[in-house]
Amino acid sequence: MVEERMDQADLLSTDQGAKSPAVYKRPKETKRLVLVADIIAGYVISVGGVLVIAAVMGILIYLVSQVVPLFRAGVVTSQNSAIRPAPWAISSATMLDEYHHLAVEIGPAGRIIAYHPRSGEIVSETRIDFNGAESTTMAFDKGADGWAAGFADGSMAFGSVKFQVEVFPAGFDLSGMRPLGGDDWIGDGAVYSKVAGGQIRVARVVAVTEKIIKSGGGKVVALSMAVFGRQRNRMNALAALDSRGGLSLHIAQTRKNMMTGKMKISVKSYSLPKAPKALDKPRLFLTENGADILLVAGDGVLYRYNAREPSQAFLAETVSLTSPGVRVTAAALMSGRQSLAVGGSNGGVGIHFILSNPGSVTSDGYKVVRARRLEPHKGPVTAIVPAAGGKSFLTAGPGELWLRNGAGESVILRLDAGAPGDIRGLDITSRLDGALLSTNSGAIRLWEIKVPHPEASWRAFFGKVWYEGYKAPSYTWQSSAATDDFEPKLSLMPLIFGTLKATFYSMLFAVPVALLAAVFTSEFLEKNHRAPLKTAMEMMASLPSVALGFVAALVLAPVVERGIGPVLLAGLLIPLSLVGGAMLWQLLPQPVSERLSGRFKFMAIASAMGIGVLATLALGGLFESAFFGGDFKLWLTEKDVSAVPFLFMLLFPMATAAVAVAGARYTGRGGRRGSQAQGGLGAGAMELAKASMVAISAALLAWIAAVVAQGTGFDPRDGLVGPYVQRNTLIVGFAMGFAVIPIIYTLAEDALAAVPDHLRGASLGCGATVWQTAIWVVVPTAASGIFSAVMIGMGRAVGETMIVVMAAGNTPVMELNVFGGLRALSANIAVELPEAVVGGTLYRTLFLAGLTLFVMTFAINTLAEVVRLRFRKRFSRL
Amino acid sequence: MSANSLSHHHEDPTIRHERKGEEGSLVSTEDFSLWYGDSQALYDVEMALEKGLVTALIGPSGCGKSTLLRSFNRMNDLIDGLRVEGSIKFDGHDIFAPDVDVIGLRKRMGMVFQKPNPFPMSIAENVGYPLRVDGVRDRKLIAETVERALKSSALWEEVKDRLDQSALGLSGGQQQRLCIARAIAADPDVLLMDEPCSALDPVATAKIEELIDELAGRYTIVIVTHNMQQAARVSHNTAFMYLGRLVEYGETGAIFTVPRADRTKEYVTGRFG
Repeated sequence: MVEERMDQADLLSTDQGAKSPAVYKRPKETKRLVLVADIIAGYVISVGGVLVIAAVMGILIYLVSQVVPLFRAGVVTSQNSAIRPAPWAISSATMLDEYHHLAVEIGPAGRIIAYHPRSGEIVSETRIDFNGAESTTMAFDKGADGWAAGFADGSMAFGSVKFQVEVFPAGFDLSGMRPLGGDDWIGDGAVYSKVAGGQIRVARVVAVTEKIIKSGGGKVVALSMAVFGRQRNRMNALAALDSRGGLSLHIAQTRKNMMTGKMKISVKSYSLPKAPKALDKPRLFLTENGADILLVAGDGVLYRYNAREPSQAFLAETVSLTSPGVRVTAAALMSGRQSLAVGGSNGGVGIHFILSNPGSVTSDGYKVVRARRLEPHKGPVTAIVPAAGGKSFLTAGPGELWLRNGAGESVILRLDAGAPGDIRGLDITSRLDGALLSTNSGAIRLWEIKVPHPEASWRAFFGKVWYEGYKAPSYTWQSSAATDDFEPKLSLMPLIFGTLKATFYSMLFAVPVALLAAVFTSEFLEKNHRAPLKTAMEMMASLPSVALGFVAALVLAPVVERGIGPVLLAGLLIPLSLVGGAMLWQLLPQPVSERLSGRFKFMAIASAMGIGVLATLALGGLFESAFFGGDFKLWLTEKDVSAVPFLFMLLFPMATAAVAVAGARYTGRGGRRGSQAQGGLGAGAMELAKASMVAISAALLAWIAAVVAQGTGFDPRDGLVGPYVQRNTLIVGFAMGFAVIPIIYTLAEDALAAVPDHLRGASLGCGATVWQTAIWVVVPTAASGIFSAVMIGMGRAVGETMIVVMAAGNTPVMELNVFGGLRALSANIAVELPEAVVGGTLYRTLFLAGLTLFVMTFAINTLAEVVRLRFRKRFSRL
Repeated sequence: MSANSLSHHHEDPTIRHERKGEEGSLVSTEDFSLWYGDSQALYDVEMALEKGLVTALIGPSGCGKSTLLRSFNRMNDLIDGLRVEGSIKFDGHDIFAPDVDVIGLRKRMGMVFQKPNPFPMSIAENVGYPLRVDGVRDRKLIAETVERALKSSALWEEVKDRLDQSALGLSGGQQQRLCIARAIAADPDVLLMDEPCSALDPVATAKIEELIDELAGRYTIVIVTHNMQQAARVSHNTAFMYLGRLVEYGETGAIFTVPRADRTKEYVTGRFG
């Protein structure tokens, strides 16, 4: 007490001891400079803020602006009418060159007129050399510039017809040419056009006869030709139907002699089973690689001859393509020769696929299936003209001309074909930028059109589409392939699915780990240990995801693949050994355990884990041979090995929870009191015995449930698990879990730490344990923060790119299989962007993928924010 | 400073008056000292709390009265670097003995805090929380306990129609009575109150004081307060603490009317504190 008084005396003396205190006199006016600085700071900060918002909005607007053109319908940029009569009613073929400078129509007897499509002026009039004979029918393979003709004596000829284009430098002498107005001139059988840079582009049509095939049949009435292979090793396949019903297939092989440079053509002819006689208006089609010969009669009946083995070709299927009473008025093979578009007298347009084994009702296991039914015309379909390359085609109905795309099943562009007369010729360029129509009254129409993204539609991106060669409609992503005839498959659904799948499994791993760690840090760890642990966890967040992906793909994936059995076992054994260790710890008398807590306890935990790992390694092989017939990966694909052990592993945790809950309900409070009364060793032993009972009965329950599940025909290999690939969802889940754990942990820990201490005090004061306080008071109070932590972690997982690129295998499949690969939206963008042409459909589709990703993360983050704000009110009153 | 040596301890500096109480003490401290890290917060405190009576702990800020209160149910355990010497006996057992069940101790000593601290749950869940902690599932038992506790804390009439609404919607005074109800529901022997009215307005304060009056007899109550009048009104015995020492302890009337130590006199007459 004496000391204290002295302290106070000291205090008093310092108060009064100062002799001349420096008195601060506060100016009562604010300096101008301060005010100006305040105003400037205000402006700068608001401008900065506005710029940030503008930047974000700008990115969003840019994304949208890149995506919107995908969904724009095609447009007509100009339309031109001219007159050019021809001495025939229906052209065998009509060709428009890609710059729309030259149009060619080939008459039934091989006569060719080439004209300028804008003016209708004749450029050249020639004929294909048939050795003086008149053809009875002609067929073309436009994509390969091939023609074929059949004659009255049963013989056939084939050759090529194409545009020959040369480009001359600027200053080319055009004198003597006939100007057509604009930048086009006509001279010596060609069109001369001024193109960009003043250069002169010259286009003419060149037709060559390669071979005449003698045949002893009757007059050729229908013909189909296809060119396979490339220049050096070309195959011209001709299918012919003669007036006596004789069907034949001729395959002409063209080989170039390397020494002389001469072309040698050898022809093999095959006789097919006779076609039904008296077919009305037969049309003949040779499918891809000459696999099938399709004979379509005017009444809609299709006869499919399987010609995979040409010498043993047979009639495999007879099927009606149209409804009874509906005649086939137009038909054409799509580019790629895998599907047949058929137009009927009722205006209907359908696309038919030849699918392998869809129910094997036919003799050869293939079947013609109508896969797509397109919007019908209001009257008979008069022509179907596919564009070379791609899957777009023109169909003509009464007064209308529609450009369609098979995949989208929608009409991309509707042209008004109101020209007098019936259609003589029709063509569309491969780039879908020009369409030509001529009628038997001599009218010519030329449309300059713009259809940049024919394959794009909501349905193609988000709906099921039945693609060529597929057995059923599906969600498929396959943006490119080796051939030009490939149909791009742009469904984003497998990618969205892949993103969600990767997210789900990574969250499955990350959320429990991160939340338990957060609860441990905020509720159980001494305060002075918190900061280092939290810092360490946050350092994990700064691990570059590319490093994580690299480790996952090149280290983890092979290790897990080699030891998938032990890895699965570890999921069971390590938790068990930890729980067992905790139980044994309880056996220690309290004074001993209290003295040993701290470092020794951690060592004990570590050694329990070590024992788990060792047991896993030791028992891995045994585990696989006992439960999975020796090899887990083999078990995944071979369904004759029982699925019970795997089901058991799946059901065991659930069974444990169920048994524990049921046990708690039945023993209730009494049991707990009993164990409390005994205390120390007795209580520990009780707990251990109880836990073993729970484990054993849970195992029993799980096994019974597994047997029952298998008995009812449930097999996890049908979906949940499946064939093992090295870079699979399990690996991604683990690696991406690592990436999101620090985020979830940090935010959740902040939320938990923000729970006021007086709530903890209240709970502890009521006699609750730290664990009870944590789960009943702290976690519910921090629930909104924890939820938003999980959501933000999920947002990160959804947008994460490098890990999924490296560790997920990048296979855009839609399957639940944990051991299968996936392709996420983000990874898809990263992988495909280098292949996308700027402004092209794929390019814009990738932007759409980015926008979809943005919408997903935006939705997740918004949900997190809304929940957080909602619960903040609750917090504010605490 | 003359030592009125009622205790066996020869260095006891505490001035001791006669105290009320016939049933003997329930809680007693013996030579109790406490350190937070290096700084000592309590010096050789020697006091006995009489069973069924209200004991007020008064003293200026930082005198250690709250520390002492929190030592009774070992709420101080949560603080890092805590060290104690001497002992606190509850029902004859040392509560700092290594084999003591701290959780059980807290179940026998209900606590009411300075700031009302209801959980963000419904009113009924708040009051029923101690039963939940004990694993009670019998709904009828819980409902009856909640009702009785709310009646004991004079809150029943005000909240009986909205038991399932959030406790955070109550006023400050109601919240504090709810916390008292929660403490009562736990069926304690001792109620520790740490400045229960410091965050409340005068009307609410009066209600709580009334309530303490009613609860006295049923429970042994220790109340820490800054409010002299409150100590004088509600307590039977009063302990005055200063700088970690128990300066003077005895019947409330004696402490307020005939304090012997200068500090006590100055404090109870409002000259410092």
